[in-house]
Amino acid sequence: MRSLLLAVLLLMPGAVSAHALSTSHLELQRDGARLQLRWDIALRDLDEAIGLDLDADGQLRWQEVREAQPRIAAHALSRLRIASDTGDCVLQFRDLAITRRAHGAYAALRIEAACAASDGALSIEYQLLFDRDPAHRGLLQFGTQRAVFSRAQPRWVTPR
Amino acid sequence: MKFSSGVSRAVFPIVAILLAGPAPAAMPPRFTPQDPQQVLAPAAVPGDALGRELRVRHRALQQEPDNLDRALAFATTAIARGRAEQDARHFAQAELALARWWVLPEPPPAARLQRAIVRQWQHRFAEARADLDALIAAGGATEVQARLLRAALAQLQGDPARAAEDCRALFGKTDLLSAGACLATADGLRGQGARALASLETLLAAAPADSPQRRWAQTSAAELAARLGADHKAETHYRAALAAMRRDGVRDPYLLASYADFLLDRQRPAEVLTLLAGLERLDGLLLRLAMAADRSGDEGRREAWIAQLDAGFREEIQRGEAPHAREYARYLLELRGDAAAALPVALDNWREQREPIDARLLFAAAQAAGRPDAAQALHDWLRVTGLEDRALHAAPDALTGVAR
Repeated sequence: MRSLLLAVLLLMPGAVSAHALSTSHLELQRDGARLQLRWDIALRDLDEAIGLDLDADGQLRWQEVREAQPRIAAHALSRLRIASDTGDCVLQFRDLAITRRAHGAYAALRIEAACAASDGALSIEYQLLFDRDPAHRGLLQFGTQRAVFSRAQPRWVTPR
Repeated sequence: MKFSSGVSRAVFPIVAILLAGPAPAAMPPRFTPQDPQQVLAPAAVPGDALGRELRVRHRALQQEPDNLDRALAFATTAIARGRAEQDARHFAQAELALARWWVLPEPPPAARLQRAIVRQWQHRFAEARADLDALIAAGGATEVQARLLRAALAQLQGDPARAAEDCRALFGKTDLLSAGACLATADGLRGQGARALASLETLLAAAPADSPQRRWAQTSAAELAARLGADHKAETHYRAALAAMRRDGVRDPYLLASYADFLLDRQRPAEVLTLLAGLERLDGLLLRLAMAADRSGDEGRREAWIAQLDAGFREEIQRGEAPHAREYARYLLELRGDAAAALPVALDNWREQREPIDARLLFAAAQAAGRPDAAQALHDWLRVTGLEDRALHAAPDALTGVAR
């Protein structure tokens, strides 16, 4: 009870403040008959979802991220679906590097999508992390178009 | 995070301000670290005692997700972690753990109390208050915590008289330092500063040295002394609060931000850079770091930190949410020098939050924008509450007609 009381007291005025929210960033580009996707996912979020901190020291090191690359790729690809008019595109993971954003380090994935017809409308379904964090969002940039994926709206269709 | 409809209206002017700025940033460059041991980010669960507790409690909950005691134990730890990291993701975990009780028309009181804490954190103040009202009406084991929270909420929203009522009801129901510091903090916001500070100092002198309430009571005394212009006393109380923080083995972003503001107000930016070193990932502290770099002529870090703040605000706006108005208005005013853009955001903030820091912000934005009339609501509020604050009364074009 005492520690709970402490928790309450520390929420006295002003403790309500700015805070980090979980956000991933996607940039999709047409590349001839294919699509190129760059997808930035916070390392902290990946750690939460699939466990990267294998030595449990509270720090995520490059070695831990590099060795988890197949698991990261499999998880990401299982949470994204891109389809053209004629069916699902085939997503293939290309590589992973690191990038820095407002709230820390991100895994920056490059993914290639092969679609039967790449010039028509695309339908994108995004399901990353919603089961763990209802406030998570995916921000997509596709040329001049933008979309926000949320648990309530995980699908987006490009305007023709 | 969803904002209540009252808040989301505030999004539009803010969106307009940012969209009028430069085009959205391209994806930032990728790099491949050379050193396999390079630390890239803190893990979701820290390697310390709190992290181990989180893991243990999470495992226990996974084995029995229907066990309320386990869910409460995990949620309490997650919330403590969220506060230390200023990271909403931990609050989301608490929410998920307790979701099955939160959907009930009458959640068990302990689960409802956690919901009030999470909703208050999310700025869903009306929902938080409704839960607290119900808990207080029901009495019982959660009444003390609910009253403390409701007092905090009333203070946050600029109603210290209402806060004082809840604080007075606490005497005899909890320890003297908690009840007394609650009341003195409220009284210190309504024209009784000197007496309230003396009361806080008496309470602190009498309380056990290891009381977990000391850090908060010392912070409150420091802020009150600073508003009264008793800088030496304020410094002493801040140092005692920081010592208590180190003793407790936690990070208290509220205390750190408060002391940083004290130092910035007194032209001591170099000490802010030391105090907050390495804490750039906490948005509220990043703002103070950028201001300190700005004031100390540290161009390199100033630019980097402003870019980081800017990226964070853009991200929130792209998510379709309003950046926290308190920080955003201050950023626009103090780091962008854009008083015209800062003023409407400071006014939005004033509708939601009315602590001394919000009053100063609105006053400064209105002055800088050449629109002193815009702060009329502030004058009225100062007359009602009787707040004493040197930063407001000693400023050029000081507020008039205000109780001293």
